[in-house]
Amino acid sequence: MSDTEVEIDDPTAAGRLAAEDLAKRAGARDPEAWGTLFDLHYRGVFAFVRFRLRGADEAEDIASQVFEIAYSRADRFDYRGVPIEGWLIGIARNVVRDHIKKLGRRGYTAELDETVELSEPAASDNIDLHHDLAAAMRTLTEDQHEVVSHRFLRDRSVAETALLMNRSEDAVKNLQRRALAAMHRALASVDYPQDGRT
Amino acid sequence: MSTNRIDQLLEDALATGVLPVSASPAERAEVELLLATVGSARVLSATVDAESQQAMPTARARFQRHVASETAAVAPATRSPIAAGPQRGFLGRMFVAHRALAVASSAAAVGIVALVAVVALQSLDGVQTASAQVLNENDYAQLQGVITATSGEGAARTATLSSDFGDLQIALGDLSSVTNADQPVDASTLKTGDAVTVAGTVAKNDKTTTIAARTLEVVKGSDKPVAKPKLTPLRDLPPGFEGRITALAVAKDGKSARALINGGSGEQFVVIIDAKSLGSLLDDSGAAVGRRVRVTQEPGSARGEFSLVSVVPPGQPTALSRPRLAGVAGVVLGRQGNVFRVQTDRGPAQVVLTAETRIAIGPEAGLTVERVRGSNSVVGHAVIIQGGVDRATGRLTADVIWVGAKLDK
Repeated sequence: MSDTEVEIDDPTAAGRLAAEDLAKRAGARDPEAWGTLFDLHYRGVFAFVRFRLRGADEAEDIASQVFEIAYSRADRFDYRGVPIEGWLIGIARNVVRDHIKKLGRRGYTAELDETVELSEPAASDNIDLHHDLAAAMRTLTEDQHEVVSHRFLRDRSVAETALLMNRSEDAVKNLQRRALAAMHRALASVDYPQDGRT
Repeated sequence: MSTNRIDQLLEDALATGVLPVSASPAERAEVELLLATVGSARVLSATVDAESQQAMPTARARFQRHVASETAAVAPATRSPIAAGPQRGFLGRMFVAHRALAVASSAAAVGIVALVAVVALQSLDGVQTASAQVLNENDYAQLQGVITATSGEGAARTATLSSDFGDLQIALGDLSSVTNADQPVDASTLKTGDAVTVAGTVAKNDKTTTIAARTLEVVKGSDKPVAKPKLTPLRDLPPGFEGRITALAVAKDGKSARALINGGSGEQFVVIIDAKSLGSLLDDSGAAVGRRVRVTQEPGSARGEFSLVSVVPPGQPTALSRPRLAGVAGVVLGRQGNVFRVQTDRGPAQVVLTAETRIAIGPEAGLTVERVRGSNSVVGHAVIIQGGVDRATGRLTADVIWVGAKLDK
């Protein structure tokens, strides 16, 4: 049974047409289309960059830069079945890399590694846990971080994650397991099966 | 124990919420460790939600300025004809009028309502018949629809909702919380054509079904009225039956719950759901409405009562987020009179039980409604609560509370 609804990310023909229409209008720098894109994807871009950076303020700045760059380069976006979200994430990936490089040149790498600022809305009891989690995220490789970000911070399916990362679904599942194992080690500091599989 | 095998077991467990029975003890142990880490990672998702929500107004304003400056720099002749249209202000074009894309950009939240719009209104008899199958007096209900008329001001604001049950009245009072894109808005901003998800209490008389709205979330949607679907009570389960929830109702005594499920063929099924499934539908990650579920029948369950399994795990919505309602999930730390202190993963919350609160007892709770109401037995139990936030006190007034197992300290 299949629903008749249409989503931007819907892989059906109707969904593809809606996404293609949005992408075309975005390519023409239609402000209305960009308003829609901003509302649809800001949270996702923010989540993607958040735990590679020092705090929410920095994430806000970088996520904003991503949309500004995307808008400025809108005419270069070539819609051929590639989700516009994937394009935004690609820009975000590069902006974060450049940002970290700049910090490194300025001698801030250690600060980036050690500083985890959370504007924690929860009780103080949870702050340690959140700091530990954020620190654990920072132990991941770039690919592992990206998988965790897509799958568990952005609620993307394996298939969607594979599309966004230009990887196979099996590769995503493999990265997902290794990332979780690495986080587990960082969080628990207990033995995890060390048979070379992670 | 190959890595591929663990990868697949992990993915199966993430997709279904349970470990496949074929997993060996060693595989089970390894996957359970990974699943525990998934739970931890999802804690960060709430942090991201809060932070991005806080950042968004500033970021949006910054992006608007950027677009405005870039637009000003572009000669009119180079503007695409696609962007041409009725003359509106910049802000209107930018963030208000999304009609051309509304269906596509909000379908996950609005579901079938926004797309099956063919027939305008149904007869009064039809309304009564359809709604009677799911909505009863004093039920707690979540449902969706499109506003076709509004009237009144302030606490007397009302709206007519075109829904799967025909036309319903929505009553908005002082305790109603109206949000748009997760931001509180005044009820006076509601307008014809708004697609909404409503949660509240059902009131009926001979001619009218009214929802006293506790929360109303505006979702981006169509301004077209919805069709009258065929509602069929589900008795015999078709193999592999899946669909999307379009309404949920919990009876006043908390002992029965029904879901309206769109199977995708234009036909909607009224499904009586078991207590365990109700708990999973009421979790605090968003409305049950819009969630895709697989319908199953557990061995030993009463005939005509079914289990619902989210096709994606709770807290992991489909591509576009489901509407959020006011709710919490956590553990009861203590109570003072009718105020429960609940520890959630977002911090402590105070929850007020009223005489109208529906109390649903999960299969592992080992409690009765009376003990939940009148004793400290509920302390230490997992609970999931939906209701409305009292803006004056910050407390959550519970419309429905689901009580789960007592957790180890």
